[in-house]
Amino acid sequence: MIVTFASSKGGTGKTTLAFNVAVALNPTLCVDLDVGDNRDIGFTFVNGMRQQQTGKTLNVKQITDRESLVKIIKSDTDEQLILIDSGGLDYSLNRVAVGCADIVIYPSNDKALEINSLLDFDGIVTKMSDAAKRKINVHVIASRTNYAKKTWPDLQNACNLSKNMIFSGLSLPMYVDLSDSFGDGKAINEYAANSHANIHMQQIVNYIKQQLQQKGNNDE
Amino acid sequence: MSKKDLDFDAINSAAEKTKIESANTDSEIDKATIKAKNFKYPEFWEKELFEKQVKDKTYSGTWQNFIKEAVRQKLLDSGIDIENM
Repeated sequence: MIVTFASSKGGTGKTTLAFNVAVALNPTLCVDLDVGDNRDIGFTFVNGMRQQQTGKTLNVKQITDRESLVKIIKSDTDEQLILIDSGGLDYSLNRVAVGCADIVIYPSNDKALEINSLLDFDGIVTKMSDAAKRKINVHVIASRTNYAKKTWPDLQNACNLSKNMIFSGLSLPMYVDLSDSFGDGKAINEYAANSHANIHMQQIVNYIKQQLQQKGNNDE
Repeated sequence: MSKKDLDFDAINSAAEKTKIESANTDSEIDKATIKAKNFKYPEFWEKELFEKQVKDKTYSGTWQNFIKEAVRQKLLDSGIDIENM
């Protein structure tokens, strides 16, 4: 199974989500596509921090060419899990990762700028879905929201109007524990298991597990 | 569908061709309709308090008190005794 974390904007929380989900689900492989100019700016950097600070490491591979990505995608089976952390820029490798994913996770907050990007992304997914001849469901997580906010009507409305976006109803507010845990190379469940941030993250992890289970059942 | 059975030529081709700009142009969604909430001041605030007090800067309290006062005044105007609520 392949889970791709994607968005058409940078800084939306893709790597934060991908890293925490990876620690929780222990995937066979984590693919880092966010490697602009061969710099370690995304998942690879966080994994390096993890190795340095905790001695633990995830199986992360940086991919910069299409052949390598396609080879990994072809090697996928239902028994294994591959997480792909795509870059925020408009880059064709990211679109391949979206077109081949079993589920796509899209973090976005409810500001007009990000909702506008979400709808652009929906247009891209429609084209990739047509090319791949398969339905691509994109699950939207309200990301970097105010912790006091419990509903996101604009985000919900945008998803309802879109063709491919499904609003999960879940959020990952901007808790300070999240950024601090990154600095320690830990996922939030390792850094502050009793924190509000971890409660939200656990809900997201469970949601992704459910979606993968459902996808597996539908494919059988 | 196994990943091996995917049409990678078509996927790669679409990934190359599909730019954000083209997807945007083809979007069938009127983005102006996305906004779920269109906040509008109730008429009584606008006329009786907002214009008189806020615009004229004669109101010096907090927004919370401004709203409380507006609600209290509206209830009184409607014949509701707020003290008995």
